[in-house]
Amino acid sequence: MKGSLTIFFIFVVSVAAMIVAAALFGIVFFLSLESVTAIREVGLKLFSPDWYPVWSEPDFGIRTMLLNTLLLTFWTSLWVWFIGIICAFYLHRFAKGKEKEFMLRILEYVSSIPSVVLGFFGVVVVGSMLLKFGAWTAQNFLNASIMLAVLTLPFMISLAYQSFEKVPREVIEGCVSLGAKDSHLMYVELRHALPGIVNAMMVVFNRIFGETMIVLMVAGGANILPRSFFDPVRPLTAALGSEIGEVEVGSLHYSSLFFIGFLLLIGSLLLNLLTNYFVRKTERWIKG
Amino acid sequence: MKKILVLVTVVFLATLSIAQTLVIKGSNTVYPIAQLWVEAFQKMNPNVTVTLEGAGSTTGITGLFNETADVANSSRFLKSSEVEQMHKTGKYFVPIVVAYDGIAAIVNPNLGIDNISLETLKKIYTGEITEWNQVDPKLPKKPIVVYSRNTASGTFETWVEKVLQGAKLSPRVQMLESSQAEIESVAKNEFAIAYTGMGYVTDKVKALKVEGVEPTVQNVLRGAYPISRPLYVFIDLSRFGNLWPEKGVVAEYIKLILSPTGQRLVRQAGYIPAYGTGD
Repeated sequence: MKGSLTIFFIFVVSVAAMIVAAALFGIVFFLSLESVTAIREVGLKLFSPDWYPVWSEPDFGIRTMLLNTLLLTFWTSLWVWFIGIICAFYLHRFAKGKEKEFMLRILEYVSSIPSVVLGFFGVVVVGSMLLKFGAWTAQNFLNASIMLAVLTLPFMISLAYQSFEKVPREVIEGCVSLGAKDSHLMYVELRHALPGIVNAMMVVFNRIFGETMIVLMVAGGANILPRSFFDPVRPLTAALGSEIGEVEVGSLHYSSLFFIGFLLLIGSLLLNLLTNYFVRKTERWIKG
Repeated sequence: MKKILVLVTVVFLATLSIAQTLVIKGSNTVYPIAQLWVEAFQKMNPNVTVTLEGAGSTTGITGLFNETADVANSSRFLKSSEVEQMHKTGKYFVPIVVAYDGIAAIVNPNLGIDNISLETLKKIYTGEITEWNQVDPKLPKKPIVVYSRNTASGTFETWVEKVLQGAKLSPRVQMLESSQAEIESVAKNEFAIAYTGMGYVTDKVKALKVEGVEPTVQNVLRGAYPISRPLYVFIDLSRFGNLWPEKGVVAEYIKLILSPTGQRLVRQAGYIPAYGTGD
């Protein structure tokens, strides 16, 4: 009886694993299959700047949107990383008892807000505020960046905080007994928490890279490269989210949208591989 | 155990086939009218499950093709590609004009402009004009914040056809996902301009006269207002043996929307009835 139960369990687990693997390969396969038409017919023009999908002489260039995605992701990630690590270090090192508990609880609540609510908040509240500060349009690069930061900061802080907490006591005590000051201590702890922090950074980066609802609602939807923080932009995910629901199945426009999806998926997969590589490398470094 | 499972499946399938459904998909512009129609329809036929989606005219017609919709709302006629596909697949979609809609160009109420020409509108949307003082020297020298609906909406298609005459939008134009978002954005930004179906215009924004003609019911019916169009409901006759449906859910629904009651609801939603309202 016990034997058959074990066999059954192994069967269920392996089937589940196979389904997941098949789904992943299926998605990659399906996306690449649907984008073949665009790659074949539009070719290198897919990387031209103009995106006019529904005109009688259509253009399917995604360069501007791709650059917007990269700009928005890098810029937002940078300041989320910076603020996130500092906040996490503060929570780990200086915050005590009630304060720490309160902060962590708040972060938990914020991280559970759905992105569509954040998008709405961005349009209604942040947009109006930016207009008062002299922005020419309410939906713009800065607005999207702020809302994306609100979305991802809780992840960054709590993940980084957990890795700080995991730094062994001996290391800290050893440092202190050698006469290290707070700044040195921060450096040592940072190096020991590095694998976890790199992981957190990559999670945040990936999340911003793929986020759709917020950029759809607050980034502005103009297919231009921003010259200032107040310029509207349109990242790839926004175009995909806006147009895929309506597009004629099998058309060139449809295929181009799948090409965008394919590109995003590849980017995301590469980032995951890169994360694994970095985390392994830093872990090895710590173990010596 | 097995018997119970089979029984449950049978009962489930039976209820599925007995319960009548009506799936309506399509234009955002027709959506507010369709909401009122559906409400009235459900009061008359409480045992029919009606689902209504408003995500753009193309979704409705696509829904008719792949049989995920019974009725398609549309703010445009069939495209030639759709007519071809219709012939190829042996389907037969019938257009029913149910209302008329004027598209209003809207600006912030605080902006000192009341009238605009089609020519200027085109220049604004193609990016030839980028500042308000180029429209009228009395207006402030501020960048025009141009909003448009996303490419999926029927309003967008009509705008491209009637105002842009096929020209390409300036890339600076900001695409918004809903008419509501356009109203909100224009209400908040003093130097914004957008366009929306007349049914959506509220007190928060100012609808401009186009070529000196106000976007009103009378002007649209007279054909004087230049940016107006009929709104359609499509049904697929090939599902009824290429005959006009006389009985069934779809037939009842069509009867309702063309009746004076249904046409009064068109007016209630802010559009212009295509048929008599009985008063």
